[in-house]
Amino acid sequence: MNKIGRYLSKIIAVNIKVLLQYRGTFYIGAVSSVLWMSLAVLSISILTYQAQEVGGWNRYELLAAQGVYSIILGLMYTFFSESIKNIGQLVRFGNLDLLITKPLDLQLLVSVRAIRFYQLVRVVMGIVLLVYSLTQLQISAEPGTILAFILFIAASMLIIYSMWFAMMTMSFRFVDLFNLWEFLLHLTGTTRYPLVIMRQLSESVLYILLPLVVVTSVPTQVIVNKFDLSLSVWAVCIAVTVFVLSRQFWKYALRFYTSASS
Amino acid sequence: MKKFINIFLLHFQEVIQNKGRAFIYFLMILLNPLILILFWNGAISEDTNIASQWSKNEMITYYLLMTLAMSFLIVHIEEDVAFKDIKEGVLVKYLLRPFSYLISKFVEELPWRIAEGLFGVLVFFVVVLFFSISFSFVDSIGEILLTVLIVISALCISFIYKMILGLLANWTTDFWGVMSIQEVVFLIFGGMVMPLSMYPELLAKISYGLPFSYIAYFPVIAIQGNFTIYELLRIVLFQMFWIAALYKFYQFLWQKSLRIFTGVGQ
Repeated sequence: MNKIGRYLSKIIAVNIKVLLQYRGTFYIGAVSSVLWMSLAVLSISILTYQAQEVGGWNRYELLAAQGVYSIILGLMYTFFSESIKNIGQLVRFGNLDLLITKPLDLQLLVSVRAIRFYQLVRVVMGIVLLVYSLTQLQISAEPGTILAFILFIAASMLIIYSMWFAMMTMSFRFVDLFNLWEFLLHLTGTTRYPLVIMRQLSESVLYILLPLVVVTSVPTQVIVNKFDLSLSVWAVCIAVTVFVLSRQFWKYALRFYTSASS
Repeated sequence: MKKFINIFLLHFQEVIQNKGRAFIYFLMILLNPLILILFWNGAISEDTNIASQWSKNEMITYYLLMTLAMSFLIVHIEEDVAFKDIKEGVLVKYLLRPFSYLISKFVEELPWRIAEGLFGVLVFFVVVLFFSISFSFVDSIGEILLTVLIVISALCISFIYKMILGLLANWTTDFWGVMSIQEVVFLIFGGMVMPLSMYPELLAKISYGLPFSYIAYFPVIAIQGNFTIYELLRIVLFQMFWIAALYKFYQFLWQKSLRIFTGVGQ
């Protein structure tokens, strides 16, 4: 545990140096995050300009869902996306050799390497949007609710992490997964709307998409006082299951790693 | 002409070779309209005011046609121009050839648009037939001809606009920022979120005044047969104006680019 802590603190320190070295990238990334957030807010405002309510969710509840989505995605993009995206390259060029020899869990090493701090702008904007929406809804969150909210945010992050990680684990078999990675990011983007919108799908399709559709819905339901116990239990179960499955898949796939030179 | 046909055929082979990639790109385009269809499906069922403006079928057809327009009409040449040609210096190869850079890029891009457009047509008919969706299409000969002209002009506007964007890489260190900004602007003002006629008045007026609505929104509404022949003519005229204005601006940027391009990138 101590080793993990030391590794994470070193990685954060290195990435802060990178951030200070390439400040332009930070500013452009920050502007881009602000713009995407504006697009999301504007889209929901335009959509709810005509439809005041969808499935019992009004404009501010949809905006709160958007805020939650930004917090989750912002955290994922900050800490994991760049590193997970690069797993393919590590495998293809044999650079995994070096990491395998390190006395630390390999999954951790490949998952947290490059941290993109400018994505934290997205998290901050998500929090601002969430607070604004809650104010408009006249909801003041209790400490217990905030704690549950954080727990479900963590569960949602675990779901997304496991799906991304499992996808990139396929790099041991396939040469280039860039397109599928892009597709997965787009698919994750569909989680910005609450589950109620997806309920119009047939049940079979809904169950296939279930890991994704609970990502934003459950934490939002908790914070806007629309708590659904069964769905929340589902969310935690799914998070644990997909994490265990993705880890097992990683361990299985690792057997096929032959390094670039062999 | 023959050399352009050869370039087209060579790139068409490349597309066929990478048909999986083309399909994944198409799926990415498809996701957002599908979610919006679900959104409106729920909204129209609950709110009769919206149903009086747009029926459920019209809305589904709108987003399906929008998917088709986004796959066939929205060109993605800017990444190629910015990252390969300008940043990596591949432009040198084109400068040494005895034909237009603009036309060769168009011919290179066209096979990708055709392939993704075909996926769009396929999905459109599968959804329409599977869910028995009834829809209206443009029907009279005159209107069909004008609609075809609108679609072709839309492709031209989209292409020249994206070429201009790509050339901007000459003046930017990190081109991803420009890409992000343009994507947001395109999604909002191009009618990808919902039909522009349902936007708040001011936003709708701004959208009608920009070229983005002439790339996907107006062709889609024209195909749905919601315009009279005079309205179609007016749209064609505006499209011609945008083609001329953007082409002039492209030429201006191209001349400037040639002066600062150094062969190994910036």
